[in-house]
Amino acid sequence: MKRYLLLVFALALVLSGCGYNTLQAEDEAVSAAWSEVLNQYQRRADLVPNLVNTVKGYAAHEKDVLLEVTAARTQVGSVPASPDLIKDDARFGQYQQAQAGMTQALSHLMVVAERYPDLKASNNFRDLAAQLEGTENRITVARNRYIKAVQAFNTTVRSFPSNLTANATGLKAKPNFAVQNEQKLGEAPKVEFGAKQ
Amino acid sequence: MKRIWLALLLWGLAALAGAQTAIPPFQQRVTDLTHTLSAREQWQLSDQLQLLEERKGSQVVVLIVAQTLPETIEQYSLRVAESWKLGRKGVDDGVLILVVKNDHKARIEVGYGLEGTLTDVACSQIIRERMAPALQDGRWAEGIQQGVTQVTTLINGGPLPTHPPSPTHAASALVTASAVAAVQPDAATSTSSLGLHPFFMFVLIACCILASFKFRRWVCRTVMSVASLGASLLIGQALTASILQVALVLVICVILQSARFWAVIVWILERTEFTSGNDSVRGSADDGRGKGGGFGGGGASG
Repeated sequence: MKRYLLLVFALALVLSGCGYNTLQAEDEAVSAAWSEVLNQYQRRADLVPNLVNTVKGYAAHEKDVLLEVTAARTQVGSVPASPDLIKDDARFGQYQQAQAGMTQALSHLMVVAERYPDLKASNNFRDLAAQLEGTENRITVARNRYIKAVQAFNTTVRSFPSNLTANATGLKAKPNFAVQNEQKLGEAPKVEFGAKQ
Repeated sequence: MKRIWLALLLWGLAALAGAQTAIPPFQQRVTDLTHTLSAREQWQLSDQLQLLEERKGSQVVVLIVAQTLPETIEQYSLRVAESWKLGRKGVDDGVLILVVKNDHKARIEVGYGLEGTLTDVACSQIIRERMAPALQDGRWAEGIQQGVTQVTTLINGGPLPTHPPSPTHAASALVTASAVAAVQPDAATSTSSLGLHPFFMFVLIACCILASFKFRRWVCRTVMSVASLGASLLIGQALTASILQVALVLVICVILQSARFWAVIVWILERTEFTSGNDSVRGSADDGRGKGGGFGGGGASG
């Protein structure tokens, strides 16, 4: 009896030390953080039609920027936003690129809107701008939280002895937001904007 | 020469990265780090906010700082709101009204639970129409008063989840909550600071116990202590720490292998009745205030 108790106790100690529970908890935290990112990006995409229509009402001849926003919206729609995206590096990259394009296009739109006092003074546009600003801020927060969650998860997946458990259960390191990619995307449109003026 | 510049640049960057604007400790509903408001104005504001908290349960607080550099107002306000854990636990109905004096800027940071009542549009309207005109002119008290009144009105009219207000003084509960939060991270990291990974220790102990069915106990224990000493020295532990580690492992092992220990465990297990009679104690200790902190960047600034 004593021997069995001893064995059970030792087994429990070994299992609790192998990081299985930590891995599960952190995996779930990453999924939750990713859902929040998707959620906020969706919220932004939902704002776009209204925003485009409002700007169109005051500045219909700014076709370039309106088309850019519409194209970006289509691009975003072409990558289905599913929770599985974090399991596929290539599609994760595509999604990121589409969303970064949307960010660029929307910031152009807001810059253009600055030139139209009537548009800026309209209540509808003010409300939409406030919503857009709030959503961009939420996106930043959600992305930061995702980055932190992935960092914690990847550290556990790669460090000993939990990496053995991760291997055995088929958990892999998850993709994170790449800063380089963002910078590249941030540079190109700036040139375009300079040429326009 | 180049190296010196590089070193200077790196040093400057490091200094910048380290020098975030500090978060003041949470003590009262109105925290004025710039001494802009008179004592009377502060007292009036916090009275108004306390009334709201007693009636609706939502916790609205005001913070006035001189600047938030190097962070933006959004980053700083989120950091403050999270560390102060505003609002009730689970309801997340905290609001932080932050005024940055040097920039003449304000932000209303809204917890998850109030995002439907204090929408981004409503917050930006409050700031743009009520607060900004006064703040731009330097009429600080008036601007802040306007902001607080508007937020209070919205919360009073909005559909809010109602909890019975707790009789204890909320501010003191909040201070304890943040103190607890400050202590917790230390406790979380202490497991890994044992030196060796606990997993390795468990494996050693388990091997020793299993091997002692076959060999003599003290032989196994000696082998195990040599192994653990070697391992801790190998990963760069100090000698004293390694020896302490070995002693700890040995003590655990001896305890686990003593018949008396198991007799005590069995005796305890036999005498314990598995009932959950202590729930009421836990419930009264946790009155659920100042333990929210669910903020997702909602609100507006201007």
